[in-house]
Amino acid sequence: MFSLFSLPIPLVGRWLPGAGQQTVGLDVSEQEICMVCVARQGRRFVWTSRARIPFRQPLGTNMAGLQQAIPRSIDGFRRPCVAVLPVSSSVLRWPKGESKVAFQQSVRADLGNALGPRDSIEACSWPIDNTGQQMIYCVSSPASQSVAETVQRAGYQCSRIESRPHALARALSLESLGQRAATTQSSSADQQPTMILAWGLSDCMLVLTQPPAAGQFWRQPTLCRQLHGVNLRGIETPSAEQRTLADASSAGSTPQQPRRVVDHRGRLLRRLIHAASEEIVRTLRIAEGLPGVVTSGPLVVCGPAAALEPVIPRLADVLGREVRPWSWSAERSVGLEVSAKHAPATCDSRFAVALAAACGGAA
Amino acid sequence: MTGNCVNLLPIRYRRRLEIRKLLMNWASSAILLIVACTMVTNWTKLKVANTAGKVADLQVAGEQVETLMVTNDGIQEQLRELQFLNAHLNALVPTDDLLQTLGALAMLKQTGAEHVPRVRALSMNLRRARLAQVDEPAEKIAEKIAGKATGKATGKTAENSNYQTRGNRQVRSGAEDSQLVLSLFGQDQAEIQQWMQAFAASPRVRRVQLGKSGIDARTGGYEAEIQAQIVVQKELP
Repeated sequence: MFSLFSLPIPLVGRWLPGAGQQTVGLDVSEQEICMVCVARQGRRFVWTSRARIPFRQPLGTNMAGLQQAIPRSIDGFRRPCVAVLPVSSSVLRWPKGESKVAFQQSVRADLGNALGPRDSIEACSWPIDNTGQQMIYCVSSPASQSVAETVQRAGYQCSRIESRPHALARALSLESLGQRAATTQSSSADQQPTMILAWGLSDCMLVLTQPPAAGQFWRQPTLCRQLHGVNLRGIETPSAEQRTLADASSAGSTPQQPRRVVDHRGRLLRRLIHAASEEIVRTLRIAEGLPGVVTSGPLVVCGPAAALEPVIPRLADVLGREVRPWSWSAERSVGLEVSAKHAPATCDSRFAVALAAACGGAA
Repeated sequence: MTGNCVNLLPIRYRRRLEIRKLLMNWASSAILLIVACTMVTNWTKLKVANTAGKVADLQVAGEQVETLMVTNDGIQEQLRELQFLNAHLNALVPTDDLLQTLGALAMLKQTGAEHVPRVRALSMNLRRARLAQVDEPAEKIAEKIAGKATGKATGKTAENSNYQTRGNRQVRSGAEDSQLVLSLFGQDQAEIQQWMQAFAASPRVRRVQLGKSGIDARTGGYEAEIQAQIVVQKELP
């Protein structure tokens, strides 16, 4: 019925050059909002703009604040938008023979305050191995609808809420594409990354993916784990003033206060890295017991943690494998490139999820 | 729900979005249509307003043509009435031959009854000779006829059997010369000549000539053939 009555829709879309081809990716987390706009030109994706907005408020109670925080479109076109909900509003479960009722109860218990007693959930599932076991990713329906309505009111056309594991797997596809183009063609399949760790200010998620099938570009997630208790909430990035003071104190001519702050952050970060590496090792052990799940290859880290200097080498030391930050070598990639208008801006690892969501919406 | 197309929006909200999008698209299409129709309507109105001056000029010219057409209709109606009356009149007017015959009979009757009642006309043959020239008005012709009549009253008669009338005799408009051949029967030749004199004195007779004559052996009377050129006036009844 809709296909018959929606006849003018593609016509109207074609009458708006540019705006109809652009897609906005929105990564909503507890601490910040990352926003990326991607335009599709034929078979290529062009990253046109990005924005990172601090948003340090609980999502479920402050939709008006979210609406005010999202930057408006300058030209007034309602671009399609794909949003990814924060981890706290979702839950990742691996049902091991539980009944449906027991599973729903456990999911409700995990979602906690993000789900009311009468609220429903929206879920997606995918197989994790050859035995038919499935991973299930659930989000609260009211939270999903509220975010979509808020983004809609902010001037975008939000008709899709993306699964965070799928978005991370897609980000890993983008990263591996850039790395493959940058390095020599002799890179084997073992050197290709299959794991991505999204380490944010309030959450941490590890996603294991399987290599894309023949003729496909995007990877599919297999095993996902939410690493509880591992977040950077207490480890905020030092401001420029604090960084200057720390540099000066290291020279021995300033007060001791900044040095103490840096030391505290360093100890806390080492503790967090240790906890995260333990969880990653545990997850890899679980994955090795599942047939068909690939655990080889380097680990890619995205999110604010990738920008912290000791995280990458320490994780590499603990895990005993290559760990590298997520980077998008856009100028060297095959399918993606940076437009000339916005060339000075770089897409760091904070925008991995938003960029993957936008590319998934535009694909 | 596997694959890349993962959408965690509630299905009700997605349907609502689709319906809203549908309505918005149709509304925008309707608005575009209305704007286009309004533009076309205004353009048509402007075109009509521009041609209003031409229409007024054509209306003035049309009024004149209409007046002429009304006048023409009246004239045509009068023409038809006249043609109708003319047809009736032609039906009422007797033919020329009948008029000439009746005129000749009248002249014969008048001549015989007044002067020689005993002469009888046995036969009469009347032929149309030629159209008379009409050069003078009717009053002048009437005066001439009256003068001839005055001359006849003074005793001027024909000297021989050929009784030639005056050559300047004119006829009225519509008159016609006819050749009249008579076969007369009288008691003797004198009576026939007397009848010829009286006939020649008639103002409508141009020339009288005696043809074959002789005594009828069977009856003992005198029979003569007379050729006369007479003028028969075609008059309306």
